[in-house]
Order: sequence, then structure tokens, then C-alpha cells
Amino acid sequence: MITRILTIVFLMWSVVFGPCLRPLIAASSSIAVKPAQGARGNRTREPNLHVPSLYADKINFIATLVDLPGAKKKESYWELSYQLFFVSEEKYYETIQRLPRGGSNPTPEEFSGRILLAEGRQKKTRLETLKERTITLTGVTLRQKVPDAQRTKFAYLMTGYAVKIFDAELNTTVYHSGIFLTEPYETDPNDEKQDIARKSVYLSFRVTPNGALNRSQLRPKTPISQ
Amino acid sequence: MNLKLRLVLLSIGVLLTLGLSQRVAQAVGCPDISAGGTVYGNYDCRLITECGGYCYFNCSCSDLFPGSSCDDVLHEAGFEDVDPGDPCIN
Repeated sequence: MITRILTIVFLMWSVVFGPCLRPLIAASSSIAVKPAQGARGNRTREPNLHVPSLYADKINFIATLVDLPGAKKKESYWELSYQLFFVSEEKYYETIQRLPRGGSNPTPEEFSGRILLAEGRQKKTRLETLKERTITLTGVTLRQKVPDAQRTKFAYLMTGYAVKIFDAELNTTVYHSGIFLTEPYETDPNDEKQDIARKSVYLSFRVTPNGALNRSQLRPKTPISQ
Repeated sequence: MNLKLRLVLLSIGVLLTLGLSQRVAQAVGCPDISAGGTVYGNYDCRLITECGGYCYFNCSCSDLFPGSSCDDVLHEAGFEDVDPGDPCIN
């Protein structure tokens, strides 16, 4: 009887405390259950601040598969569908108000009034060089498509994407869909106190040696010439 | 059921539990948006990058309590400061 009770208690403990032991097991994983969160570029919103000069006439969209363990394997492939939108400040904050508190993963469709700037879909089967793992779309019209009254500082450019990557080295397929939001402007690299119109929107992915997918909207560090 | 068999079943149960925990860990990543409110004001953060097990966000604040800053809001919400020289964002 005592053995049965001990067995049940131990099983209950393993269910309750099992997740606490997870970091020990998944230490090599780049994704954790509750990742630490870092914030940068925090700024206080100035509602409806009209800044038409911070909207470029044209922007570029550059998607890169930065790391892929099986890049040299001919069976590996990368499939990406993407949409680039403008979301006005008013509609962005309307949507934010509707989202659950804390972290969420809204779809592009949840941002009503979004303006489509560009879209496309590509499947790449030659992935050996970084150049081959880069998709570039140049000269996407921005300023003309955004009504003047909506050219405010706290409006956003939104990238909606769905990615599928098969790595023949790891023999694994990773999928993900999501959004990235970024300002229509960026800090002037020559003067950190000044903002200038953003010229490019980036979307990059890394498949780690253990088959996890990391995503980013930062400009990849590695030169495209590789 | 003898004690040995029970111990074997128990071990399988524990391993399954831990294995499932790891699967959940690998399935859950960074949210695209993190938004909410604190006593100091409201915040909305957009994912910039996933790097080294961390989620990096760009954040804005609004409706600040007089005398409070966006840093106060974000700290209260559990965000950490990012070193400007952090290799993940440079």
C-alpha cells in the first residue's frame, strides 16, 4: 500500500517539477520556455507626429537564410512567402489594444487598414553561398502608397512571412510564420541623435546545429559576398 | 506487480514527462509582440531578433504616470536593459 502511494506521489512530483528541470536538459537549445526579454530603443510615444520626410520614396526588401548546416547538400531547400505592409499608427494601436496582455503572435490580417506594398513567394534549392541564400526586392514604392496624414512617427512597416526550410544535413524540416514590425525610419549611422528614412527592410533566418530556427529583422552581419 | 516492474514503469513515466517538457521548450519561442500596462504606464514591444536564447525587442511607451520614464515601465514589466554593445544587436 505504502509503495503504491509513494509511486503515485513520485509520479505527481515528476509532472509538477519536470518543467523545472528543463533548463538542465535543454541547455544546448537556443529557445527556452520563458526566454529572458531585452528591450532597447525605448521611447515615449508622441501621438500623430507628422514626419513625411522620414518616409523614403522607395525601399528594398532583403531576406536572407544566414545559417543552414546543410547548405551544401543539394537536397536542402528554402521556401519563403512574404508580404510587406504599411500599418498606420491609428490602426496599429487599435490592434494592440485588442491583443492579450503580454506576448502574442497576431497575423497580418488582424491589422485592419494595412496597405500592401509588396508580396512574393520563392523556393530556393541552391543554397551553398550566402548570395544564393538571399532574396532581394528593390524599389518597393512606399511614400506614394501612404496617405500624407498617415506619415507619422509611430506608424509601422510590417513584414508577414511563412518559411519552410529542409536541412538535408540534419534531415529536418522547420516551419514558421509570423510578423515583424519596424519603424519607417532608422537612426542615422553618422549621427545617433538624428533619424533618417529607412531604405531597407530585412528578414533573416538561422537554422542552428540542433535544428532550431532563429529569426531576425536586423541587417545580417555577414557580408552578402560570401 | 513486483517492485522491480514498478520502478521500471516509474522511470519510463519520469523520462516521458521530462521529454515532453523539452519538446514544449523547443516549440515555444519569442512572441512577435509583447504589450501591456504597469503602474507607470503602457508599453508595446516588437521583436527585433532571437539570439542566444534571448528575445530582443524594440519598445515604445505611452500614458506615462507623471515623473515616470519608459525605462520604469519596461523594468516593471520584466524587461532587461540591453547593452548597446551586445553582439546580438550589432
